[in-house]
Amino acid sequence: MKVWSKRQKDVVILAVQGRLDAAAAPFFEEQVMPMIDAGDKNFLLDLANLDYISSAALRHLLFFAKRAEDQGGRVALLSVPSPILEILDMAGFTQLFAVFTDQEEALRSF
Amino acid sequence: MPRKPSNLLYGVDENPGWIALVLMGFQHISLMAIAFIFPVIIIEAIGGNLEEAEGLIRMAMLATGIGTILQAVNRGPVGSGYLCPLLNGPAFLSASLMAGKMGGLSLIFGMTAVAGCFEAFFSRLLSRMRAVFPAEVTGTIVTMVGIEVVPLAVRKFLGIDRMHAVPDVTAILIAVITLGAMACFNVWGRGKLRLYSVLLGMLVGYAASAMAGLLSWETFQVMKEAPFFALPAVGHYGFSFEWVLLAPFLVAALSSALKTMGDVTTCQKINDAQWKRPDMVNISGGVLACGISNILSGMLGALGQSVSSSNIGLSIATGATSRRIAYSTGIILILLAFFPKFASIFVIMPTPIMGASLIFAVSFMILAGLQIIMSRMIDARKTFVIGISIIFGLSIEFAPELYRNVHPWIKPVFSSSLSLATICAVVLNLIFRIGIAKKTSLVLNPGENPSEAIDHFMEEQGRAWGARSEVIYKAKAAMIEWYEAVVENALTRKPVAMTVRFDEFNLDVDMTHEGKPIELAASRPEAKDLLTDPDAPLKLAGYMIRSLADQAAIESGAGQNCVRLHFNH
Repeated sequence: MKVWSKRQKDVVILAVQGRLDAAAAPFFEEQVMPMIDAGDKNFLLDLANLDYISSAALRHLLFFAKRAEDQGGRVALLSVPSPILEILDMAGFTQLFAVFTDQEEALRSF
Repeated sequence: MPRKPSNLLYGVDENPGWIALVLMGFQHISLMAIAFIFPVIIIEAIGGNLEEAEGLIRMAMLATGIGTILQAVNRGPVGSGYLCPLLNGPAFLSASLMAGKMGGLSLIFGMTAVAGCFEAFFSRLLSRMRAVFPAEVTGTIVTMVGIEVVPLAVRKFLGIDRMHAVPDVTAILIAVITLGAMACFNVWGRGKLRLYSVLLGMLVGYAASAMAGLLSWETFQVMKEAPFFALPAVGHYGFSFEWVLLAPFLVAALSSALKTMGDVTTCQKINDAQWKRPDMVNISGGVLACGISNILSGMLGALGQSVSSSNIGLSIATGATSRRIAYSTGIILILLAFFPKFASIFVIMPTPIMGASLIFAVSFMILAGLQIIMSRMIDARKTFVIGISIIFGLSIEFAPELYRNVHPWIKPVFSSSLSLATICAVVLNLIFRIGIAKKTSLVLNPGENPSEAIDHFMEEQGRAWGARSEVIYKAKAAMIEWYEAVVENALTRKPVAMTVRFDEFNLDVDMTHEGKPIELAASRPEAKDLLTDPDAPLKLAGYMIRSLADQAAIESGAGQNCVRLHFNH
């Protein structure tokens, strides 16, 4: 799994590529938690190139979102492939995260 | 229960209203009129006169009208229930030419009726031949159904016909205007404009033809001289039989049946947003309708019939697939057989308008075939089945001289790119099925990266089986969830085994481990519990496994726990 980040004003866009499973989730946390510690609080996760996400990784995603919320920010999802969206929906995560297909619209929502 | 796709204005069971039925009936007949050239070719080859050609065209209208109605019947064993018009297509041309030269029209009609009997018999075997026609084979057939029409369509688009041996600039201009008008009405037109895009495009083409001088008063003379009413000469020429012609006519019937299979498969797909695989019982009814229509053709005194791919392309393009359109098309065709003056309208259609209409319809046909092929995962075996079949099919169009000296008995196979591609696809599919295990296992040791191993294993198997990618994805997701649940939560420290079985309708996964069982929870934990309750992640994993599968069960005994998952395919 790989994570790229870029900044658009006060939003950090994180592009996640590959499989986000139990083995990769700690690596994801290592990448994103220091950003919250450094003061970032709004995150847009671009999942266009994510192949798979397991429930174990979903839990890490929830921790990440909780930390962002504690700082007064939030996490939103962008370009979620339909099989991943189905998994998120199954787990009830589409009720917890705003999901966008258009980056501009997603950025305006913060 | 099929679900109507959103791109259809009138689905197969809907009623567009009688005015629309009449207009769309004429629209379909306008496209079918291109096939009236085949009776003319036969009569010319056997040295007949214009009167006989006109008679044969009217018999074609009568026979194909009945055939089109039979094909649309959706109750009982006869008919596919779809708008799938029949016409005197090229499938029987080669065999009919041989019969015509040997024994005249009576021999053509006798042999056509025999071929129809064979086709009807063949249709009864189809429902047991599902393994012979997987998605990649039917997709290849449907693609070739469209490609086969390309040479005829392009020649006519360029204005090449019996009178013009080389492309004609005026004709090309008219064809471009006609095709442009059809595309404009179809792409940017709404409702009725899209529905009648071909008919409106044809009218634009007729206007352009009149201005360019392609339609003169002499052209309309044919119409003027035709009688207003005349009874079709049913069975006028009688029937005869010749053993030596049995093989070519049986091959022609087989070609017609295979073409019908491809066309009915297309109809199934375009009428069901959730289409997964060919319904062989329905296809069998479609082929039986075709066989009976050919028996009728022989008895009435018309040439052999097969399904018109171009008309299916037209129904996709216009978004109108109602079977009532088939009934209206059939009834109008039957009436035209009794009113020669009106029938002659369709005989005087300018060549470039025919070409533009064909290219318009064929575009949709080819794409429908490619979509069927790509609905499944493809590996090297399937690549060969599809690639080799299309290559040899196209070789007939690119270099027909290569097959000029084949034995006359098997000539029909080599006279059509569709027939050769179909036979190649069926044979290659059977050959490449050798060595594909329907049941296979994967053993993982704790500590291995399950995602990568399961992903690689299932992708490879999915391609070998030609499975649907979305079903393989769900199975993969459930298998990874299970592995992470039992290993990450320390339910076992021993190797775990996964066994996967596949057939066209089912994908079953058995996952076995030694240790504590996993609970397949019926409800998911709350989000807050995931952050605080240490048992919640395992509960979520169990819930996800259960939700991803269509059926899930656990069997425990002697320290072994087996999770059995079933996925509908």
